[in-house]
Amino acid sequence: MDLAERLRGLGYVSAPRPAAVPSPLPGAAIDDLVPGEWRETPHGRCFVACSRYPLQHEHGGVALRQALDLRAADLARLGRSADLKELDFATTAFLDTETTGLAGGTGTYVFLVGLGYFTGDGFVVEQYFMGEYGEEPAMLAALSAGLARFAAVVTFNGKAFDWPLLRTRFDMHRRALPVSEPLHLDLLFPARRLWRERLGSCCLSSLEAGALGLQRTLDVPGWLIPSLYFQYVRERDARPLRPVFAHNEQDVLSLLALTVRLGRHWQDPLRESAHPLDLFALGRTFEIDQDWGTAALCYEEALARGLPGGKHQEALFRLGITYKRLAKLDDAERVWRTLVSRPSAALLTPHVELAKYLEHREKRYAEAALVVERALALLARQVGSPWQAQRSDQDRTSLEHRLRRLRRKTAAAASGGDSQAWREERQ
Amino acid sequence: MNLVQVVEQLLQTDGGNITAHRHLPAKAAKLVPFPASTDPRLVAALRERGIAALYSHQATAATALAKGRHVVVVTPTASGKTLCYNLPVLNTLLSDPQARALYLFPTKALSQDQIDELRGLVDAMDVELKTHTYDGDTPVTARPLIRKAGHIVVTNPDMLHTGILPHHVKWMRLFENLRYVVVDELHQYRGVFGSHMANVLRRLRRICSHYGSEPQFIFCSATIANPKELAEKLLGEEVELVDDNGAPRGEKHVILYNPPLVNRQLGLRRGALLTARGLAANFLANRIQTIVFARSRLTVEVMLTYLQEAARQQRLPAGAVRGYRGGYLPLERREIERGLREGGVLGVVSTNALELGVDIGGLEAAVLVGYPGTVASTWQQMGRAGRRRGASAAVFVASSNPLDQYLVNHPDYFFSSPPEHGLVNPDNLLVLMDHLKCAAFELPFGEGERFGVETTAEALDYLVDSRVLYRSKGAYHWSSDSFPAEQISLRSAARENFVIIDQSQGARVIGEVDRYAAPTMIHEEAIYIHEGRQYQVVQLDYEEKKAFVEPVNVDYYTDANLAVELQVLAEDAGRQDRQSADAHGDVRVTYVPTIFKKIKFDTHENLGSGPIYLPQEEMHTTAYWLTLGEDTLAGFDREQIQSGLNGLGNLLVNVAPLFLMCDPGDIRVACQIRSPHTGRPTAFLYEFCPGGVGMSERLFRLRDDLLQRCLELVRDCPCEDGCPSCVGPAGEVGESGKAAAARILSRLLSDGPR
Repeated sequence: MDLAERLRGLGYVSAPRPAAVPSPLPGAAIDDLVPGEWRETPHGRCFVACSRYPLQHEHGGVALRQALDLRAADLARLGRSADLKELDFATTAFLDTETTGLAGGTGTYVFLVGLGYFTGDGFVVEQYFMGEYGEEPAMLAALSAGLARFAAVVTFNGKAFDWPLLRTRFDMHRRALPVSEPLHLDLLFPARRLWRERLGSCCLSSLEAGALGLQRTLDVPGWLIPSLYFQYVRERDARPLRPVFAHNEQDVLSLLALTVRLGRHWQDPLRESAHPLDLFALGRTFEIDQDWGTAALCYEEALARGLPGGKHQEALFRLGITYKRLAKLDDAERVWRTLVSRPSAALLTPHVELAKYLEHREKRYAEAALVVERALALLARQVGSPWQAQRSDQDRTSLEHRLRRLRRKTAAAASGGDSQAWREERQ
Repeated sequence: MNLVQVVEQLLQTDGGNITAHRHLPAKAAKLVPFPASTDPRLVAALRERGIAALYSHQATAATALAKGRHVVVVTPTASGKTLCYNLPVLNTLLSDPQARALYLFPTKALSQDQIDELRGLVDAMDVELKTHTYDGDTPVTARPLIRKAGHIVVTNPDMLHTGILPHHVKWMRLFENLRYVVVDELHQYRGVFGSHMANVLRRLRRICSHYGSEPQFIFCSATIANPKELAEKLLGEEVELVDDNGAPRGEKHVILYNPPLVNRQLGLRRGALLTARGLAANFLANRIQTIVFARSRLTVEVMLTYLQEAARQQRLPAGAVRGYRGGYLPLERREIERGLREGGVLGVVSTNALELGVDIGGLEAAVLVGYPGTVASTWQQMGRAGRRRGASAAVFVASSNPLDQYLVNHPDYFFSSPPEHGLVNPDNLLVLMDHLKCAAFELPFGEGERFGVETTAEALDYLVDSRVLYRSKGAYHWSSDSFPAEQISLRSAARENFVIIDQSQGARVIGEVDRYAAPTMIHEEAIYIHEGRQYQVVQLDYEEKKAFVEPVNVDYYTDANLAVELQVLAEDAGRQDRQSADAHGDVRVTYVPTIFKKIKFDTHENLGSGPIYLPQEEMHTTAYWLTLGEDTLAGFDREQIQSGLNGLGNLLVNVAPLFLMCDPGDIRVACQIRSPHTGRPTAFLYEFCPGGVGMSERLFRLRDDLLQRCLELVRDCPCEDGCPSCVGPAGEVGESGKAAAARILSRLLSDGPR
């Protein structure tokens, strides 16, 4: 019994087919179909596709040259990393890979690496191609020389996926990456912060459609790419592979366009953001970065342009908190009053903040007491989980304490004023 | 009363039920001074912990390792096995901080104990040695540091298989500098699991070789018949055996207890659970620290309830009797272990010695409810009772299972060296192919490279034909977008598993069963036990491979009958004489379940049965078969031949596990009154695992011993015409089954041993 029979008898599921000897079809080799050049390396030659774009070329509503107007400081903020202030597009590569799978590990190969970069008069996209497994050393050598020109990379999800995978491939061949830890701007994180609210999904294709207004026609779906590559390796017909090159090239251009869009949002949020939800998201991110001033502007503008119901209340709330941080207490008071007076008021904090304002700045104790009573009523109506009940108890105790103090002060004021009262327990 | 007095009283009152009482005298320690090459810091730290010298086996292990050998250390419970590896490993790390070691434990619980012990020693020495567990629970942020800088990495086979080897590039530092690999609980790596593990080790060594390291392997095993052979099969290299156990032991009383017959004709006995409960309660009443081992979690629950009630009645404080379950969090386990050490916990009920931590101190008494399945684990469990000084007692209470009955009635057999062999088949084709794929994923295969078998190139070409690998310039590359390690379970040979869904509270997956076991385990109305809870199968969707169950509470379990057709494909070896012929080889087994029986716990009465409607399944595996010659059956009429053959088959399948470390369902019997292959009455013992793990060949080698035990079992059984404890009930086997089988066996053995 031969191996195949034994395996079948054991229940091994697989469909063996006789291996065909690959012979390249005339006119269907990769260099027939994709413009590029063969680069010599000590390990053999590697095919590198090459396209050039003029600076005024537009992609996703963005002219490529607009990238050169971006400020590194903005990119450092959106990338949440101070060393990105050193970013210089003259030495930056926009990088995207195509791989034989998403699992990672040592059995996942990178077969195409797209590198986009600015030259004096345009934008070049190079694509380093591993024609088949035996050519990997040559591809890595050529890529190494290519990457050595750059000190920074811009990617989409490259920190978790592309760059570690490249490092693995180099390690497998006992080579070092030319720049082992370049400056790395991964657009996934700022893109999520800005667009997840509005777009939901933040994969590159949703962002292209939703943020760049770009619809690719006849694009190859990502999940199909590995099998197209395997097919190419076996049959040496590059025709089905051409869309993969195109897909990768578009990815690189979109990286650039997204960088421009994101940079401009951070640079001038009010002018760049068309959509109020984007402004709201920006407000949140500036607030987290402790830039209260810009956060407040974003919230104000978002509210002015109109937000859907639940978001409106949330934006108001965050605006109030931000005003408080800016010590703009009168502005904060207006916001608290608005929130408290709404029939759907469900948050305790505005009540508490308004009560504090009334008590300490305005000394309107009776009015403050009324607000606290409303807060207590609100609390009584709330139904929650057991641990929320514990929080509610704490809130209730604190509110009752406040109410008692306010009633004391009201009584004292009525019976002739008492400056002692407010010295007790401020806040 | 103290322990010795309790034992004496027991011998007097229950003498009729006790088939053996052995008094094992105290044993002094065999001490050897620390080897001269031991780092003084390590010596000082050990002295601080009360260790001023080594036990003989610890020293022997250290010496063998110093010579560059691989080592397998065989130690009973609580005999200082951890020092056998910690000493050489730490010693090397102290002189070479670049060196690395990998420790493999089957469970996370044991891993955690190891880390605690290691850290204790490292802290005492005040050096910069990093020891960490690396498994599913390790926080992601901690992982990069452990990979780069961890001196001793403690993990388990599954993590090695999916988390470390396929990402070996991230572990470069470890693999380049790997000096030792410690594999604990070697005896667990047998059967299918062992065959997978052997291949995981092949991949590990392949990667080490790629990075230029050649680590020494240190195996630790409980007492089995063939530790050296098992280690060598697992590793594929020569391994030196260290079994001169030098740990001290207090005196020990071992008692074999057979509950009395309640129905002689049917061979029914008083339940083991009931009997054991009485014995344990008696120990507890005398304030003797006791551990009770039960076979299933369900029995643990029942026993726990009984004993906690008994404790209450004896006015013992709450928490005096605790259950010990594998699923407990480390904190809970620590609590119970501390309670045992400090005396707050008087009684523990558990299923498995493995689930206990490394050091719980020595208890005074152990009670085993039923046979744990192997003599090795019986001694392991009994070993939990035992102190360095003072007496201890271990009582084995037999159930009506044939093996239990055999052992309790043949104490000499039990007390002589353990007969079980741990068997693995690293070249089981299915298992090998799976790991070949994983290995190709990890590193492309080169021209002429061997992975275990000589036919590696053929197997690789098969994978190329299947479009899973691509051959380029002589090298075989992984050419698929899947991640092979994820699709392979180290504990089964089948890839298509059935999923078991509890539909009582929404739909919750509670377990998996492999495709071959499914017809007998999860047919409709079957009782399925999971984590101590009983479930009944309400519906089985065979196409979709889903079984829907709901919780029940009944007093029986189910056992399914299979109608089996067996066809011999190839004979690997055979022999013949006047009386009989036997052989082993490859067979095709076609089976379909027919009916199931409901069997009462404890007494093993048959409470009823029902039909099973499921499609036929086919499996290629290995088998051992015994053919009866004309002389053996001289004077037998047709009925006697039929029932004698059936009886013989049942005896063989009941006794085989005495020699093989396997679970009851792993080896099965099919009898053919006129076998197409031999033309004569033949009993086939086949492995219930595609490809087999080597049991058939082992039985072929042990033929005479096997038949001798069968004869003893049937001859010494007190039933009249057959019972579940020997040939099977007369109603099933045939009226003359017992007598005929006994006669056949004595004729087979009359020629003397081969």
